Amino acid sequence: MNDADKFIIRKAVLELAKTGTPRFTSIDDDVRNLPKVNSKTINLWDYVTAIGAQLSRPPYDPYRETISLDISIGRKKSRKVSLNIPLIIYGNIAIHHSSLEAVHLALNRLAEKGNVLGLISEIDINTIKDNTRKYPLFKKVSFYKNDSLEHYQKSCPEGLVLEYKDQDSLKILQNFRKEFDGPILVDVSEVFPLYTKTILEEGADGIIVDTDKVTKKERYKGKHAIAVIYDARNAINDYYKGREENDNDNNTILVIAGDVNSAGKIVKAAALGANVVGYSTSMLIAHSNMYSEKPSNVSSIAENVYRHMVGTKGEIKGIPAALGYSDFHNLSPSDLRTSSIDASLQGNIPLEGVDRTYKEMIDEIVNEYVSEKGIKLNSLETQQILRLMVRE
Amino acid sequence: MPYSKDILELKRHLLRAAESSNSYFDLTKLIVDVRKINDSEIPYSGLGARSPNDYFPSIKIIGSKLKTKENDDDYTISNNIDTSFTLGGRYSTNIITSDIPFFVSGMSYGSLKLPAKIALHLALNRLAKEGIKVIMNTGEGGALPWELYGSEESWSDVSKKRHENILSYADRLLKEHHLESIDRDSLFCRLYPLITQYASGRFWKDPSYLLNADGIEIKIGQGAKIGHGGLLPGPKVTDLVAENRGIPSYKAAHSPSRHLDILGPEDLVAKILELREITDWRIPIIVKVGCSRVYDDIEIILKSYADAASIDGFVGGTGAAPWELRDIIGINTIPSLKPAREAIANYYSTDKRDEFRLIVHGSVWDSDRIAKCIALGANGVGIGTGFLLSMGCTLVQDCYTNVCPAGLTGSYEKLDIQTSVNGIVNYVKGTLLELKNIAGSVGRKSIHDLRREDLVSTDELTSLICGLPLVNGRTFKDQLKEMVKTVIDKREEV
Repeated sequence: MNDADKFIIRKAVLELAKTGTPRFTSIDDDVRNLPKVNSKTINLWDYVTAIGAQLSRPPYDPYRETISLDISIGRKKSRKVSLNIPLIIYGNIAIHHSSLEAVHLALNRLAEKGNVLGLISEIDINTIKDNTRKYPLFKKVSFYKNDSLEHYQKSCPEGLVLEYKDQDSLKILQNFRKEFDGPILVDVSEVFPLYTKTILEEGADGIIVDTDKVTKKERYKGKHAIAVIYDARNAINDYYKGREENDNDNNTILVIAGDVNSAGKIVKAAALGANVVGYSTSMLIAHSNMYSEKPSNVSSIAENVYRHMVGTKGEIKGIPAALGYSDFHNLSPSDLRTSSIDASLQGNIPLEGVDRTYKEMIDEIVNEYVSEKGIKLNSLETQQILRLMVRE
Repeated sequence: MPYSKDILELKRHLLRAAESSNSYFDLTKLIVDVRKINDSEIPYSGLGARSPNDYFPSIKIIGSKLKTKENDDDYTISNNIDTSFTLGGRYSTNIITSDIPFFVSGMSYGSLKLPAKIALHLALNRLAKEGIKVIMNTGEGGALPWELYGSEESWSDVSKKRHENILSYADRLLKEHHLESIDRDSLFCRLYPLITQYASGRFWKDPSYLLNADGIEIKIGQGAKIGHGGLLPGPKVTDLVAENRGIPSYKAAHSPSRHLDILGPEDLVAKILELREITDWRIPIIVKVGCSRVYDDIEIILKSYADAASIDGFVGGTGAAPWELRDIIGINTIPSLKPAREAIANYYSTDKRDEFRLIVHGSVWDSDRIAKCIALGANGVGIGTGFLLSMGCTLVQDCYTNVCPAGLTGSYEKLDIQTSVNGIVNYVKGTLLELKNIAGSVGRKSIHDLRREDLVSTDELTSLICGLPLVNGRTFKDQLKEMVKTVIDKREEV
């Protein structure tokens, strides 16, 4: 409940508790009469929940049982990079060198305790004083530069991240793929949803999609991160359609960044199809020190980033356990429910209580009518009618 | 919670960093991040989740009135409205009777401080004396001595030594909370029905917890933390709380997320039969689940030897839950009612379906909401937060700490027991009158006669999920059918 709801509910019950006599209006009448919330402040993530495990499916216990968060990045030909937490630190902000150093120290400390997560960085880690690295680095490559692979390999990265801009980017991907044996992730945020299939055909080990960037594009105007993740997962699934199942090449990674900055959103994104989350909050925590009147030293900022990540890991483990999974990566769209038609349409998420998506319900009505009237529709016509009905 | 200066500064800096980088940041979650930075622990929160759509405001009871004038015809009708609620009889030989269809949800000692628990006990006794019997659930943290030994029969099989121990514990409880002046005779008198909770933590020490209760609720889960066991943070586990629960002091009490001996439907049957044997088939047994796969869970409960099922919606409250977990797991109360009712209807091929009771919890605070739940198929409603509000809860949601502005879940010295008792009594009486008025004003003789036909939905989604008509008298599904017809017919014409 929001503050306005809280005020109404408290006021109403206190009135009853004080007088013991009936009121004129109910809580719901008062809530209904509140001014409508600006639709810009509505975040569809809030309308999506997960269904927990109860009698029909027992939950796991994160305090007493092992919940796996491990993931390996790299398709069949690539060298594999393993993470113990499905997060890669990713930042859109121009980060100060000392902030990166703090993140570096925090990631090292986390790795020492068996919590390996990755870092995507453009800045060279080699310039950091203590550059012994215990976590995987994904070196960011700008396609506009004509640097050779050797230039990027100076920091001995475990993986590369290429920002896809245009058709020329493909050539660079092809060249780097020939020489680099580690995983190459391609950030397709600028061109999404185009070229995904081509990029994967050229041997990319995964794609990165930043929902904040994509939802600013004309094509996704008015859409939410939910729609972006749903489309990205489908793009990868489409790539695998018709391919032989047992050629051992099913490890393409979907990295979702942007509006996935809390444990709840990470879990929802994973259920929608993300394998790894590009997590920006750690960078933000390190960066926030710049706004302090008395900036802390690098090791205290690193301590902040470290503590925050330990807490986040606990949250990320607890939620799949409560959903009945011992492995974070077993989450699937069927674990989600929504209380919004818009969210159901954008992410193909079942509506709560009816356990079917809005589209499925419309589909059912169309089929009912068609069979009742003996009308024959081909699949294209059915699709057209569905689109009209859901106002796509 | 009075956060330290450091935490507030961290929050300020983080907010500025987020704003300056134009990165989207969920401001309501900012404090979650800051708390993780501060202590690397999973942040907790109290009470229920924030649901942007709990459907209640989108449902209207046609023609209902909360308040009627004395000279209004409805008023006379309202006085004769039946609001009683019974529980049990499907398998139990005893039946619990309550004069109202709502009761006090499980709120344990430990989660609530002693004065708040005593206020509830005294208020329910006072209401019973005035002819309004209200059921109380103990919560999973064990029962207090006067709850279990509130009648003469309950002492009959108690040894002298045990008798002394019980009274000594009661004395120490009262002394610690500076409540020695409370009259022991009035305290050790329970006039209302008590349901004890049988949760995965098994925080009780002897069979009297089951034998002296009027009902037993097997708690599989709760709405605020579905799939996660009960939780009482370490600072709240004082010596006396620990003694009541049989656990170490000042260490967080994490109940297992599942009953270690109930992993499936067969185990539930075995457990219920075990409890039936212990209680000689006397006591009604309820099984409580959080709302998720409601149809499947109710189907399992129906096939066990339970007398009732209790479902707890997404907004259902708690004393402490991991913040993120609370806010993402579960479905709302209203959408859960339809699958629950469908499971019951599919199980019973005869009219005997009334022997099984469906109780709902979560986001129900007033008569209007109680009536909506009943019209949608609930037999009874559990209320927790509403009772806390009547005692002065300010909805700060820091119930997991020892600092509560109202003195309910912390800072107990702030609570005035007598004022709280009056608040609870008034809340129950006022809500009861409103319920009678609602039923009377829509022409029903009993609150349980409210039906779906008495409701309309004011939005499309609520209509679709609950199958209720919109204000124009047609369901949204019917309107969609009409639209499909128009679209297909137009295509045929072309």
